Amino acid sequence: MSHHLRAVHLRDRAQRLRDLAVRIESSPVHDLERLAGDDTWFGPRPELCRTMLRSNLHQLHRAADDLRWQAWLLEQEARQHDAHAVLEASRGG
Amino acid sequence: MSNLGYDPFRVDLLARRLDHAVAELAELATAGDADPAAGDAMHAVRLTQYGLELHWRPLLRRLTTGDLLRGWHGSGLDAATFLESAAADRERRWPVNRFDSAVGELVDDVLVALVARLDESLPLADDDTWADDPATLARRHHALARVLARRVLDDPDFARRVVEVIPRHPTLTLLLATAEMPSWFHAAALRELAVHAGWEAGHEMQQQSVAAEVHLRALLPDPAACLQLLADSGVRRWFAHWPALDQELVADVVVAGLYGAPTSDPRLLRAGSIALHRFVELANDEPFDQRGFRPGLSLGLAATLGGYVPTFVGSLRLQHGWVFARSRGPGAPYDLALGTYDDVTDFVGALLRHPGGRAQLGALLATLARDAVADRPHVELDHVAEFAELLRRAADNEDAELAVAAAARRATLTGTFTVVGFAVSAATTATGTGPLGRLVAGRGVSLLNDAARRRVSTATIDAADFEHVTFVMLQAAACRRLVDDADLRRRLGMDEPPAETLDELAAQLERVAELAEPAEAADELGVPSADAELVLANVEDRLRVLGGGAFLDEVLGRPTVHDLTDRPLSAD
Repeated sequence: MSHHLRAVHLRDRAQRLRDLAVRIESSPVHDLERLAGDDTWFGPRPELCRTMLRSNLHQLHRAADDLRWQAWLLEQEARQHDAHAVLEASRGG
Repeated sequence: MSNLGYDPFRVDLLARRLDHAVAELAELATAGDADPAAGDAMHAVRLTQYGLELHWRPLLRRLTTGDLLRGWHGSGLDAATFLESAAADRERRWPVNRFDSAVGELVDDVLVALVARLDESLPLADDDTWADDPATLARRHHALARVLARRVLDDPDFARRVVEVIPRHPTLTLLLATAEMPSWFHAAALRELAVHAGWEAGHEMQQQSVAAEVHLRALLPDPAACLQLLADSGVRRWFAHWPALDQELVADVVVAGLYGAPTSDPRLLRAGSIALHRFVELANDEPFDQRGFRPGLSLGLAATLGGYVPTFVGSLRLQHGWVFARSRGPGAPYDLALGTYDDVTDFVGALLRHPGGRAQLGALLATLARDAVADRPHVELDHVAEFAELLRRAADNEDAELAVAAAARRATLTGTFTVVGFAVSAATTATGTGPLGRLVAGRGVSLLNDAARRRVSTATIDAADFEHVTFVMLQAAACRRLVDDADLRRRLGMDEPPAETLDELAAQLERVAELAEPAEAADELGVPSADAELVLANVEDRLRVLGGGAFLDEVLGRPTVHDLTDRPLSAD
């Protein structure tokens, strides 16, 4: 595979990762915390559910950050391939 | 129930949003699986999905179908499938450093949620259809144990936190028992259990007892780890005093550590002596000097004392000075003060308070006598009397003295010797010792418990005492050596008896053993019959006629032995 095609492939992957990050952040799971307040239910078990959910949401935010970080790394790699492609083209010319 | 409540309309809305959210998370996880770089993130997604399935959905289902908040149903998600996928993810080794932390978060949550469910005897997985199926349960438990074990092995910090919660969640121990865990983990768990041992009889104590048994049993195949465990002062006190420990296992672990470890690695002999010194100190501490040790510890220490006797028996001569353990054998040479003579006396006294300890030390005394007569280098004839004197002083009452004496005589006449010293060859352990000795020298120690279970009936041993027993021990050992040792007979200038005569004398010595241990009394540690001693006396007479009198006089006429016969029998 040429450097150019590799760069394209990596940018596609990066874009998909960014899309996933967006989907995670806009997931309906984030609505649950708002809908599950004391006016909906209260007691020790609802409280346990809310606690668990808060922990999970925190992890999801980190997961979205992580996906963007992975996307950035892939894009860096794509830029390197771009540079190699330019180098090869100049040598060929 | 008074602090529970809900709004049916809002709960219904919440339930529908939950279904939507779970479906979306499932789609996300599938979409993300296509790219390894999304592995960490997809773990968080699956973890969230699992949390909703485990905690939210059952509760909302209950509320929307009209039940109150009194039950707890599991989700439809198979815990094992989830955990197995977590383990499989890890094995893919995706190049993402944060994966470890993601698994750590997963396991922490699972630990809290699932272990709590186990402690409440709730099914681990959530579809009730399979909750009663043993194979399914076993598979799920195994999957959970595998993930936990992996985390413990990979993350010392996580392992430390798991160890800390074991006293509060003994079920965790049972779970981890199904996975291969390293010795250091079991030792750490045992140290933690020792620190947090509950002293009130009840459910907690019972649970901790089961947890302790699991860890002790797992530690047993690693003698060096057992020895290291005994270096912990909390564990020593726990063994000495906590009533809920399996005493047979305690004996096994003590034997493995104090005897098995130096046997397999002579460099550990010094560590063993240090542990012995600590137990001598413990025996002289309040309140143990009043109450003695628990039976398992007494039996274990008594069973292993034979290994250490050659290191300190030489300093027993100074009965009011210090007792030193000294080794010049394999491993680094050392001198170590075990304690004063009185300290060691109290220590031995603690061992003698239980029948198993008396049986062991009686057999040890008999073995010393046999080895001394056989000119084995680790013990001299005078040492027999000195060790017998130590036992006599240590026994806190006449019954204990008689019990030890009976055990010694029985061991002598039946040939059930124990092991002295650590340089025990395979041949010796196979042929030169009784089952107990082979046992101590070998891997297993379960037969030790036979001795622990035996009870000495003092009513049957009124004729037993140390002076007589010492005489019989030496008499039997000397006769056996004259019959077996042709070189000795030549050196003594004896006429070589015909082979059939030697065979007959050997047969009579065998007969002594049979008479001393009649089958119907196999479970009792009573006194061997008087017939056994008559046969032995007959063998001695025959050997004197054959020219062995000088040797027999030398052995049986030692002044130190006769000194013993002049001493009063009553306790100090």
